[in-house]
Amino acid sequence: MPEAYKDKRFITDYYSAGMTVIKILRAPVQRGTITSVYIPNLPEGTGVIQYKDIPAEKEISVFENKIPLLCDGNIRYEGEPILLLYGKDERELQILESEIKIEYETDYTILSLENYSQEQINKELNFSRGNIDKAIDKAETILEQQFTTSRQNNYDIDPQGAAAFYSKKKFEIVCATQWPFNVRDNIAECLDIPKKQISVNVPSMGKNHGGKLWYAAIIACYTAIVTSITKKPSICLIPKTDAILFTPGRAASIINHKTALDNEGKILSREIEILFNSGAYPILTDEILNRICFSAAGVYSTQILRITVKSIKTNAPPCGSLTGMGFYQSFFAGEMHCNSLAEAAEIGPLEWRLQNLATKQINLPFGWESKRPMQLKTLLTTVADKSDFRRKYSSYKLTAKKQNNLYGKKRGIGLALCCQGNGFTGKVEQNGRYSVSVRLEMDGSLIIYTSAIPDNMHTAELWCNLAGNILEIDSENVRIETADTELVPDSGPSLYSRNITVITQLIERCCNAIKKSRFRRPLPIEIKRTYRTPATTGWEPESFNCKPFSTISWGAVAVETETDPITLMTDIRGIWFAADCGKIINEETAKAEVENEIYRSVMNSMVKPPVFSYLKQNIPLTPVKSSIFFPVDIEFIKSRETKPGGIGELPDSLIPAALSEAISMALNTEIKNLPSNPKSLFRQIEHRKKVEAENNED
Amino acid sequence: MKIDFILNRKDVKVDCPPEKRLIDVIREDFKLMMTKNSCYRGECGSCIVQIEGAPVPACQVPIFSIRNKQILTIEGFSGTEKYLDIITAFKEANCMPCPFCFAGKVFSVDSLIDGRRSPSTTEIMSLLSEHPCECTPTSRFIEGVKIAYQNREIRGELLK
Ligand code: FES
Ligand code: FES
Repeated sequence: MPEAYKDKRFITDYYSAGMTVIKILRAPVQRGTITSVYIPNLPEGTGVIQYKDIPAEKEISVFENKIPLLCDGNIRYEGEPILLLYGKDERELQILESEIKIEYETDYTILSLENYSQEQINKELNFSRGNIDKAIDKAETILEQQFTTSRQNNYDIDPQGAAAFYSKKKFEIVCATQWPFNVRDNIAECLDIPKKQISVNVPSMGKNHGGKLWYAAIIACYTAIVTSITKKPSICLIPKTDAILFTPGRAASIINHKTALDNEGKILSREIEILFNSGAYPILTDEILNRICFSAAGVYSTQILRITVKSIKTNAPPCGSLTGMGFYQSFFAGEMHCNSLAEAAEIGPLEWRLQNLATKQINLPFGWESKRPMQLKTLLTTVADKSDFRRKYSSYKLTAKKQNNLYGKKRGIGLALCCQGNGFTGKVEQNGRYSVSVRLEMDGSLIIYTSAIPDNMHTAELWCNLAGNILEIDSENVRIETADTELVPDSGPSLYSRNITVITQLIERCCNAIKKSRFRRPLPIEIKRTYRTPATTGWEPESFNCKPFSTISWGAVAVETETDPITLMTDIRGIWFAADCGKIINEETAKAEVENEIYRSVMNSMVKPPVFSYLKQNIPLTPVKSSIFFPVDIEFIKSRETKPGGIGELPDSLIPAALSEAISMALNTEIKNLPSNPKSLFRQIEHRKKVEAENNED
Repeated sequence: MKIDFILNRKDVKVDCPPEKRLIDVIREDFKLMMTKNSCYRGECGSCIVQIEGAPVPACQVPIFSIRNKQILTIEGFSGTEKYLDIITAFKEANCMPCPFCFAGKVFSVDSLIDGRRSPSTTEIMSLLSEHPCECTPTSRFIEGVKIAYQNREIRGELLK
């Protein structure tokens, strides 16, 4: 067994006999009020914590949003934590749970986005440029379409949980988190103690997509509360089913597009309305609204534009930070709409895209002046040529139109084009003073101190190689210290490819500074650098004419499929991916990352969304990867950008649209919902048949 | 309840409730922490051990059912020739699993390459679907398993 693995401890490895175990009791109703709580006599060493027992701050903060640690008496979603039980083991807690009686009064619930009321709008963003009415008057074609995406749950391979230890008036928290300083700050507020009395250590973790961003702070607060009462070590491990259901998933959305085209099929104007289901407690709302707004109109030249984005509160579990948040929904709807626009203009989807692509950044819907040339055309033609798109498209289209029979599998091919904003939008990065420090030791070894959690082993490897290359040190002698909030600087949350953009840049700056002073100053040398957003970056959604991210990555994909018209099961025949994502530090690692994300995205686009029911517990622990193998071709085109950019989120923005378009073509139907699993395909085909029949009757 | 069994080639005894899961016994009573626990539903593959030579998720095995049986965890398996077939292949294909899924993947691959023919891509994909993982590229893992099979074949293991 690799020697290094022996020291790797995941959160479950921190459990030992004698620790106080914490269990969360969750609400069995979707909306209502707690009318009474009966707690039996508690054996020694066991206890119950309710909302009123939380010592100080009863909510955790995530930027501008807050979420209660426990239900305050008003239940807002099924599975909301009502109270905490603690005791010596799981068995004891089960007995205790069966003796606790909680009565509820239920209220009506709102789970879906349809027919929302004004009170449900938690936040709204509006942008408008140009005269839409004039454009509509001039239009040759006007196309209106609605798209929907379902909630997508988060799946992490490694467990979610936290442990708390107390000694010498200090709390040591071990927590599987993507944001250790958020955990520390929230515990300090919750217990009303100084931050310096808390240290947060991060155990080994698997690859995470946002499920451990803010949710981890809630679990850590539970352990800190219990340990502050018992003064004994405590642990709270979230069962897998709960982790899938309650860690923040991807919000369901409804997206309406209305586009006016001229007689050549060129865009005259676009109106886009996006509603997203933020669940019972909206979290990261500003960021999500900004990202949706930024990506809503895609990468096509659009001068007359109206965008409305609304975050709608419902009785679903809170949604939020899952990777690609906002971009995923926008690009699925936007790119599918492009295919329909091409069809309406009687042009092929590749040609329509080439004709409407923004050639300069200033022509983008969110345009800004930039010296860097756009390479969207190259990206698109790269995947089109490699996949033999033109030939396949014509041939499959012809076959699909002719086919009335159900014999044999039907083929299709789809294209998509997108971008990815790296890091958070300007304000988050501007307001937080996020740093990294690097220390060159006397023995020649190098330590990188950062609270950023490498997304995977490749990110860690990348940082070590980068630092090693700059300072000409063997990467084996470079170590990353993320362990403890007392030792490392606050590097901010690990999400939205910040690790690749912000953190990598900071490491590079620290190492370059060490390189300069290496032979002039005695060792050890420690250099700290703080991230500052470039002067050109600024995001004012109201004016919509600025650069919200420090870097942007661009991507295109072609997906070829084969669908069985009877079972509606789809096989992937091939995926061709191209990206322009700035400086690639290690191409092999980058390709591995993209391949993984492509597989994950295919799975997410085609699997059934888990049925949400906490009580019935009927969700499958869906494997992340599909069991179908397909060839993937990845090309990074030569970029003029000198900074590294993120790539991990591109597949999630590209695959759903390209895949759905390929299936639409194969089945000669129009897919407007995600995921494209057989059940949802069947429903969409039936719906279309019904509409066609009604139209024929008319 | 007292139960005797053979753990990593040693006779051992444990005194615990009969329904205690094998995974908890391995980790809590014997401190063999390289076998991980996650879903407790037999679905994630992180807790796989060998029982009488076959890979089994230890979270699905109550301790009373293993009386006198041979249990092999990754700690007992590592260092064996069979283990090296797999590890050298994973290194060669650059698809070394992370510490969380390491034990499960190694035991699953071991049983897949123990047959009389090279595993097909479909078989490898079906193995992979039982080990939800987002960090190892599929193509590399397939290559790794195929190399592991070749390693074992070269060693003449199949002819024994
Ligand atoms: S813990 Fe997941 S299969 Fe046993
Ligand atoms: S390599 Fe272990 S979960 Fe992916």
